[in-house]
Amino acid sequence: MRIFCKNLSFSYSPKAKNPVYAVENLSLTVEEGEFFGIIGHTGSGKSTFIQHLNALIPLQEGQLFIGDFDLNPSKDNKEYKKRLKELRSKVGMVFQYPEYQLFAESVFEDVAFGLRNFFPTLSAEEVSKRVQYAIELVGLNYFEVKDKSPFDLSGGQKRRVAIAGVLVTEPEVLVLDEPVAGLDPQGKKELMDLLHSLMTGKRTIIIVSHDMDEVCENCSRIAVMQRGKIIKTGTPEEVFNGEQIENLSSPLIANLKKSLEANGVDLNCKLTADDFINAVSEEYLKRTNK
Amino acid sequence: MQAIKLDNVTFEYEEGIFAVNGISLEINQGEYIAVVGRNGSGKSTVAKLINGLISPKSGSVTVFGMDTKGKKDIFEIRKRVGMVFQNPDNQMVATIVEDDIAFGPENIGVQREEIARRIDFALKATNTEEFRHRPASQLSGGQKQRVAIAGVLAIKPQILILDEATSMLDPKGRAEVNEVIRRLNKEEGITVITVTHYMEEAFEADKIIVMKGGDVAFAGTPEEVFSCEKELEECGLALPRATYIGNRLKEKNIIDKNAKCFTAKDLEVLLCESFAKI
Repeated sequence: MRIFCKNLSFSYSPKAKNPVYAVENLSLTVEEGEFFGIIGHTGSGKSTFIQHLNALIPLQEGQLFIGDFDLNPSKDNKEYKKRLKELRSKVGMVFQYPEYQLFAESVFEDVAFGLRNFFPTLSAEEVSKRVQYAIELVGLNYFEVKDKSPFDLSGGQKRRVAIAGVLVTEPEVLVLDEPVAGLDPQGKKELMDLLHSLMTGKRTIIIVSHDMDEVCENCSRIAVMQRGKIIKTGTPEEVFNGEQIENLSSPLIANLKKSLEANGVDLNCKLTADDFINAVSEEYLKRTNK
Repeated sequence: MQAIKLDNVTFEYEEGIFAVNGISLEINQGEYIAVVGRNGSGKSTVAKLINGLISPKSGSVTVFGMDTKGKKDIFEIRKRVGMVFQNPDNQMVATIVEDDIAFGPENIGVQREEIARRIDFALKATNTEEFRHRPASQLSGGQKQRVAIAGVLAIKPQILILDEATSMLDPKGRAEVNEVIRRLNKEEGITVITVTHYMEEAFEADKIIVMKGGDVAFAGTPEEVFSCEKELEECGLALPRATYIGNRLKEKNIIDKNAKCFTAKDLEVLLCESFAKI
């Protein structure tokens, strides 16, 4: 589903004399099938913004559409209340450290919880089919883990179970706040690979991250937020190849490209490690063969 | 002087499943040690063994010659070994920052005037003086972790253990905390043991201990450890990004195989030199 957002503003104290806006005048379009990154400091409004996407925070000002669903909660929008549940099953939200939200006695029950809430009429058989599908989707062995307590699993496994609990409703938009924070390097790589493997069909993925290198490796486009506003949007190259963004560290490869450029070596490559290494070797070969 | 000694230590949370499996290591007073390894490799268990939060099933843990198993020394050990955990929100006991810092020394019966002196010292050392009278709940994650470190410093420990203390912080908070840790090690001579997933952070240490399956896989200076790409991978770890790119460019003979290339700065200089030489 496409996400369309125009002039969205939000204040936690809207009735104050001079309201402070956590998100101000934000406009953004994320197309179907994008792997999109949102970066910015703590307090820049990232979390406030993403919570709008499944109406955890109701829209105050501006427009927000997820697919054809209008998130304007006013009384004129008759669809809103009727379809809210449907929207929330289509827009999956994975918060930071989602493993802290596990609560059920068994992995199966935890993953099934959201599904049963959204679709109370599903048969037991259908529920277990879908739960199995979701658990296998996140790379866990269904029969091995389904009856275990989620608290007996390792950190990385717990996080996968939490994500399965969101994937079980087959969301078309998946929003993840710092999905790999706190994982070891291999755990990070495995989880990112998993997210890429979920990019089938029309699914859109949005991640919030503090790690510039990580968004460059993984995202097709990114938005930079500062003080409640989006100050830059584009491919990683468009965002980082220009001038240094105030208060934001640059990704390693953008820095390397710039210093090479200052020494007369212009590289045309993405900001991923593989692409950079290839571009450097091609340019090097070209020059040594002259 | 030897500060910590683990001698053939095992520990199991569950019967038959060893979280720590026959580990032996020694750490000297004043050293800055990073412990790295996959989730579940036993890093945090080792941290908890050192200040006697848990006792070994077999083998022994001694801190300044005192055995953590002996009941009579356990309080003395905990005075000397301070620990900061991962989640800043779980470590505050009082609402106001200075009260939180006073909690530790009050508990061990330090005199009032001395407590005041220690609070001053701890606030200064962690660069948190400006938060002194503020509610801890209003601080950012990085600020809270620095206050948590201040709370530990007020006990005057000789050893500071940080169990993934920066992993929930943003880059700015992480840099602030790391700066404080470095200063405490260099200026106050406090022994630092930091358990971390950030390889760039581990690079700051004097020595890195790589753990796998409840034991030390290998250890060495950061340069020695990060020269072992294959071994690190086998432990489920990865090189810092700059070191990784440097290694690939070495394989392609673009930068000199024997050159030191670990940090972003190293890589930048070497790359520019290589192109300049053509």
